Amino acid sequence: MAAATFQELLSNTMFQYFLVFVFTAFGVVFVILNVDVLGKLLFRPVMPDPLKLTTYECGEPTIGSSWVQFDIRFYTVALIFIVFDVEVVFLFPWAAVFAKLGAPAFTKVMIFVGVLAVGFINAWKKGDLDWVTSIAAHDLAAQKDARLARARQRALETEERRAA
Amino acid sequence: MLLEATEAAHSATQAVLGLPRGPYFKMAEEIGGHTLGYFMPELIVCFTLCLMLLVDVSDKLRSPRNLLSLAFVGMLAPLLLILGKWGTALFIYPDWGNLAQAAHFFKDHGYVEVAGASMLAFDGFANFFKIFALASGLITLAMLHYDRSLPRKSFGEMLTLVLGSVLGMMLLASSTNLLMAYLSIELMSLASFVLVAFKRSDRKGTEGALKYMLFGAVSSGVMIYGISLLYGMAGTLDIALMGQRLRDVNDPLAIGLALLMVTVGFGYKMSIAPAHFWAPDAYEGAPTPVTAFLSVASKAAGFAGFIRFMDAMAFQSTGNALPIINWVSFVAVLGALTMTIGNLTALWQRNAKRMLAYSSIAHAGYLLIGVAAVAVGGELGGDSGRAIADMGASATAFYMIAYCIMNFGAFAVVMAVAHETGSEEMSAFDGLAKRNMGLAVMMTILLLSLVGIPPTFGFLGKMNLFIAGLEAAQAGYPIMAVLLVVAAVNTAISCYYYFRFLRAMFIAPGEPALVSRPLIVSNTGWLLVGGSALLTVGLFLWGSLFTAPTDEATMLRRTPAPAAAEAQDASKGHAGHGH
Repeated sequence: MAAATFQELLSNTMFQYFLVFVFTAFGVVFVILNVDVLGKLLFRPVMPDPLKLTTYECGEPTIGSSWVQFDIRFYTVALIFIVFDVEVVFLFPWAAVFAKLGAPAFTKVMIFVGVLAVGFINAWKKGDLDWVTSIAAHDLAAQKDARLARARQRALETEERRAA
Repeated sequence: MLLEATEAAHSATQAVLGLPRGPYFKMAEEIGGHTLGYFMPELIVCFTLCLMLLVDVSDKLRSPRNLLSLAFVGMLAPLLLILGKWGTALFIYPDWGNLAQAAHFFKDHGYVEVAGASMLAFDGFANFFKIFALASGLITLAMLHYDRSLPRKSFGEMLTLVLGSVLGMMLLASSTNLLMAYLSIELMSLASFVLVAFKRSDRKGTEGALKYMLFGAVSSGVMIYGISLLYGMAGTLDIALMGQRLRDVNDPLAIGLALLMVTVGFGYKMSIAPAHFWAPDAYEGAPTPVTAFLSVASKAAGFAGFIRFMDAMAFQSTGNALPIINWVSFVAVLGALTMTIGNLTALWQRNAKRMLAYSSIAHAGYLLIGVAAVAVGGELGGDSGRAIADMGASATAFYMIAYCIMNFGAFAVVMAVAHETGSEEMSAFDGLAKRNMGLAVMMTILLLSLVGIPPTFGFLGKMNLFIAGLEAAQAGYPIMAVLLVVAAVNTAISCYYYFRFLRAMFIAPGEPALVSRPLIVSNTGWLLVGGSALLTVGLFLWGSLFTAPTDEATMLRRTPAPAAAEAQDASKGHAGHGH
C-alpha cells in the first residue's frame, strides 16, 4: 500500500519538481555549512594578510587594476575566429561521410565555404586583419585631430584679438 | 478559397498571355520535391548580399550609386518574381477585398514544403509579408539615399545590413518551424542592432542600440527557453504539428508558461507592451531611415511570425477540456495595454522621432485588434470562425499597408525638416507652413492618415480593423467590444499629439530668421513625401469609390471573384478545414 502511494507520488509532476527543489536546497545548505561554518571553525583558520588578499594570477605579481580598456580589435578577430570555428564544426561531419555523399554534397559545402570566403575577403580588404596598420591609421587620425584642434584654437585667438 | 481564386486568376492570365495553363499552388510531393524554385526570391537576396560584400571592397566599383543600384535590383527582382508568380490575382481583380484577401490565410492552402523538412511554407500569407518586407526595404533604400547625414564611406555595409534584415523578415514570414522562426528573428535583429548604431560617434544611437541589443538578447533567450519547453512536451518543432500534439499534453501550467515565453520573443519584435521599452530609445537614436524601416518592416515581420504561431496554438484549445491559454483575452489585454501606453506616453514627447516611436507602439496595439479577431475565429472554429479569422488577418495585413505608407512618409518629412534645421525636435516644425507650404500640407495628410480621419487610407485600414473586431465581438466575445472602445478612446487621445505637429506647422510663429528662409526639399525627398501622401489619398479614393459594397456591407470582399466561384464550387467537397 505504502509502496503504491510512493509510486503515485513519483509520477506526479509537481512531486518531481519538489524532489529537484529538495536536492538543490540540500546542495546549497551542504556547501554553506561545510565551507563557511564547519570549515571556518575546525579546519581553516582565518588569518588574512595583504599578500594573501591579492588576486592570484598564476603566481605572477598583480600589476595594476583589472578594469582596463580592451582594444576593440580583439572583438573583430574573435568574430572572425568564431565564423571559421563554426565552419570547421560543419566540415568535420561532412568530411567523415564525404566519399559516400559524392558530388552533390561537395557542391553544397563549397557554396557554404564560398559564402564564408566572401565574408572573409570583405573583412580582409577592409583591413580588419591588419593589426599594425590599424594602429598607424589610428595615430594618423589622432595627429589630424590634434592639427584640427590647434587650427581651431588659432582661429579663436585671432577672433579674440580682432575683437580686442 | 483564395487558393482557387488565385489559381483561376493565374490560369486566366496565362490564357490571355498564351502561356501554358496550370494551377500554381502545389504540394511538394506533386512537383517531385523540386522546390528550390519557390525559394528563388530569398536566394536572389542572399546572392545580392554576397555580391554587395565583394563590390564594397572593390575600389573601382564601390561608389554609393553602384551599391545602391545593386541593392535596388536585388530587392526589386524578388519582389517582381513573387508578384508575378503569385500576385496575378491582384491585377485581375484590383479591388480591396481581393488585395486584403490575397494577404489571406494559410490554413487551407497547399503548403509547399522544402525538401521534406517542412521548414518553410510558400503560401499567400508568406508571400504577402515577403512583398511587404521587400517593398519596405526598397523605400528604405530611397530614404538612405535621401539622408545626407549618413557616412557615405560605409554605405555598402549599411545596405548589406538592410538586405540581411529583409532576408530575415522574408524567412520569418515563411517559417513553419519554430527553430527556423527563431533563426530568422535573430538574423533580422542582429542586422538591425548594427543599423541602429550606425553613426558610431552619435551617443544617442549607441545608447539606443545597446538597449535594443540587451532587450533583444533577453527576449530571444526567453523565447528559446519557451521553445525548448514546447519541444520537450510536443517532441517536434513544426508549428502545426506541435499545436496538434499539445492537445494531448495535460499540463496547462507548463504549456501556458511556454507559450507566454515564445510570445515574449515575438512581442519584442512587434514592440508591444510590456516588451516595448527598447523602441523609443532605439527609434530616436537610429538614423531616420533605419527608424522608419524598423517601425514598419520589422514590426510587420513580428506580426507575421506571431499570427502563424498563434493560429496553430489557438486552434488546438477548441477540443481541449483545459483551455491552455486564453488567447483572445490575452491578445486583447495586450492590445489595449499597448495602445494606451503608446498614446499616453506620446503625449509628453518633445522629439518628433520619439513621438513617432510611441505612435508606432500605439499602432502595434491597433494591429492587435486584428490578431485578437484571428484568435476569436480560432476558438470558434468551423466556417463562421474561419470567416472571422480571415477577416482579422486580412484587416491586420491591410492596416499594415496603410501604416507602411503613412509612417514612411511621416519619417521622410521629419528627415526633410532635420536636413534644413539640423534638429529632430518638435520645435523644428514651428512655422513650417511659411517655409514650405507643400511639405506642411503633405505632412497634414499623413498625420490625418495616422489618426485615421476619412480622406485617407489610414481611415480605411482602421475601419477594417474595427469591422473585424466588431464581428468578433458579435460572435460572443464581449472583451473584443471592450478592446474596440479602448481603441476608439485611444484614437481620440492620439489626435492631440498628432495635431501638435499641425499647430507647430500652421499656427506657431517660429523663429523669424528661420521662417523667412524657404525650406528646400530635394527630388528624392519630394518623391518620398509626395508619393506617400498621394498614395494615402489615392488609395482611399480607389478603395472607397471603386469597390462595390458587398452584401455584408464591409469593405472586405467576402465572396470569391466570379471566375473563382466556379472553381470553388467544384472543389467545395474536399476543401475542408485544415485541422
